[in-house]
Amino acid sequence: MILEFNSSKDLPVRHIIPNGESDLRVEVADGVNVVLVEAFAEDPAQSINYSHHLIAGKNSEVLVVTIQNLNAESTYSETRTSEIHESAKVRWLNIQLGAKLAQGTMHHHVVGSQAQADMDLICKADDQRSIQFTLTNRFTAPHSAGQMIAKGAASGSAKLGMHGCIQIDQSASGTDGYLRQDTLLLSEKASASAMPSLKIDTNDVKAAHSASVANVDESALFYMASRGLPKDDARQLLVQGFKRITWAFG
Amino acid sequence: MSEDKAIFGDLNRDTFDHQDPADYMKKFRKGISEELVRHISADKNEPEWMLEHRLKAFKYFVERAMPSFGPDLSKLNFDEICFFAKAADKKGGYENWDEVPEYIKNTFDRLGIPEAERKVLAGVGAQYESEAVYHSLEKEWKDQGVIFTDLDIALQEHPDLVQKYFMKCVPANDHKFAALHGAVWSGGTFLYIPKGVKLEKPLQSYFRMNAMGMGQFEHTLIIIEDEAEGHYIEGCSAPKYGANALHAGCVEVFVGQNAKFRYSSVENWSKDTYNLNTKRAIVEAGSRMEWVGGNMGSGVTMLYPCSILKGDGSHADHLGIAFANADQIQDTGAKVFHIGKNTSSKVVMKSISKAGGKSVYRGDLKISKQASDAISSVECDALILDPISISDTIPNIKVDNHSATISHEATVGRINEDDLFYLTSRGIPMEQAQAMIVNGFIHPIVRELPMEYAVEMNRLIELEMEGSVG
Repeated sequence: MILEFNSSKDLPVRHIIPNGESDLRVEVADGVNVVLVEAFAEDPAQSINYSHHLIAGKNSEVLVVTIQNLNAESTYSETRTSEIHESAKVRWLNIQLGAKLAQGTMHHHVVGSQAQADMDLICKADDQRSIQFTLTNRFTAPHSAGQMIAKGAASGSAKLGMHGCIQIDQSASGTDGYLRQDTLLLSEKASASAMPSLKIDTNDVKAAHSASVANVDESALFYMASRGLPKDDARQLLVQGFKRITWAFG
Repeated sequence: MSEDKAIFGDLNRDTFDHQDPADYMKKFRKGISEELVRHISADKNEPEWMLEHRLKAFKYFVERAMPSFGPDLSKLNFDEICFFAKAADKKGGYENWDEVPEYIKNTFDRLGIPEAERKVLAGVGAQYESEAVYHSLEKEWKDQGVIFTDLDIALQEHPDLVQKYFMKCVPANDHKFAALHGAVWSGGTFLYIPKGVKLEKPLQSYFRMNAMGMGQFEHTLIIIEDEAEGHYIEGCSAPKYGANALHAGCVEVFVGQNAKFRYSSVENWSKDTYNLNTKRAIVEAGSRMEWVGGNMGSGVTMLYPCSILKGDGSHADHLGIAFANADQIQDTGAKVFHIGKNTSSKVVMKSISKAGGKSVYRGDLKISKQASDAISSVECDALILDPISISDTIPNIKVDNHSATISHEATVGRINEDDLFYLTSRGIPMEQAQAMIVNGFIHPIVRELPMEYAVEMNRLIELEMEGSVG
């Protein structure tokens, strides 16, 4: 399926990801602003294999929001790629809340200069769920920027893997890349893995990443408990605060 | 600068690349076979178990595949490498520097080794090709039961100790080069610090490959008993021939309870060497293991010092510098496995890439299920000095315990233009200004080395920086 945008939309456009295998190609023309919201049909137990390719024209602005809250019998797999042209601004906001098995790759390819390629991933892995995501920002044109933020919480006996990579080719001098991965490990049986990598082939760039894996801060819990908040509520508040990210775009 | 007076002040690239005549090489063959493995063992008059161990390792070596990751090793031709050669005939080396054969002495004199011993070290070992040529230890420490000798000698004199620990930390079937090492190892250092003895001065070994197409496989076995402390420094170099040399050494460190040990190495093999080294430590309760390393030389380096934090409350520090110049691949990193409770680790790595060189940080951090309240922080900083050089950062973090606190940070960038402008505007030539900034960048790690070695390190950086302004 192909979605073409030749003029800006004031309201978000909704796309329903069907059960089974599906393909979506989004073509945004030069200078067009679009917000695309992806949701799912409300069927029980789905098995989804979704691929999404975005072409963002010059000076375009694109926000794609995906909220995956399938039931615990479903499986979900996505492949997300983009081609970002000169001065375009693209942001993917991907929220993974459901399915027993969720996996995906998100790959921005910045081919134009002065562009901005961002992605945010939020994962909630509880019970026996397994979530594996790989995020890549690749730059082949000069003077672009990109920020990747991945946050996740693992509880129950869930497995959470978030891998990120900033790849800057020799042709992409002046790039500013940033990658941040934070994982909260909330239970004894949960496990987490992280592999934030950098592949830098030239020198006039800024590239940084940071990753953390930790439980909620005990001293913060104590502080809140000493002010009369029940410990469970305090814990929940801290987790909520951790997952909060800036929703503003542009 | 005070450098002129320093032991290593006169070092330049020629000092390391200089070739001494190697007539003795005519009687040693190239390539590896079971016959050679048996020959090495017989030549050293080794006990039966060691021969069996060597043969088993040789079998693993034949069976195992080359590493599936990292730099291309396809140009490494095992048939062109001499796996065992002796330059001197005296077993275990000399205790008096004056007795060492002249041509070997010249090499080490040029490198400043005996002078460093007199000034800053408690003991020194020197290995030339496959066997040690010199070992000494101050009497004070000998009397307290410290053993610092060539491993071949230790095998004869302290067979029980060696058998108990030899390749128990790095098993021969660990990977292809550990197996190769197990089969043809020769020479190296044996250091034993008995319970409660605290060595105040560092000990040093210097390894030198001189002949063309040489392979060096020294084994360093270090046993630190409970409550003991020590510091060991290793230096390496080889002349440049344009033919591939291979260094597949192995370092095993056993740190007892409440002990402290630091292992420093300044590695400066010639740029046609494959440096495929394995270093690992097992750290018991309440102890502290520190790895300090500088990787300057070699064409291809694959080196990931590893700490196994076995005991509760144990700690590991990994500090490292890698400098990748033209045609060099520095694939280095750190591995830390947290097994005991309340364990902590800290990794600080700095890399510099220049003239098309490639530096890679490859890390592995694992927090096992039972390792509650583990703390680990990893910091990698990379400097890329020109548009054609490459830097990769590939850390791998796996956490199976929810009480762990892990942080990882990495940055990649170039030399700050403002700093350069500031320095050059004060009349410092561009090349020197760059070298100053690079030395400042690695300072947090260099300052952990004893002063004389820090000077050598800075000098090496300056050598590498030469010709960086085109």
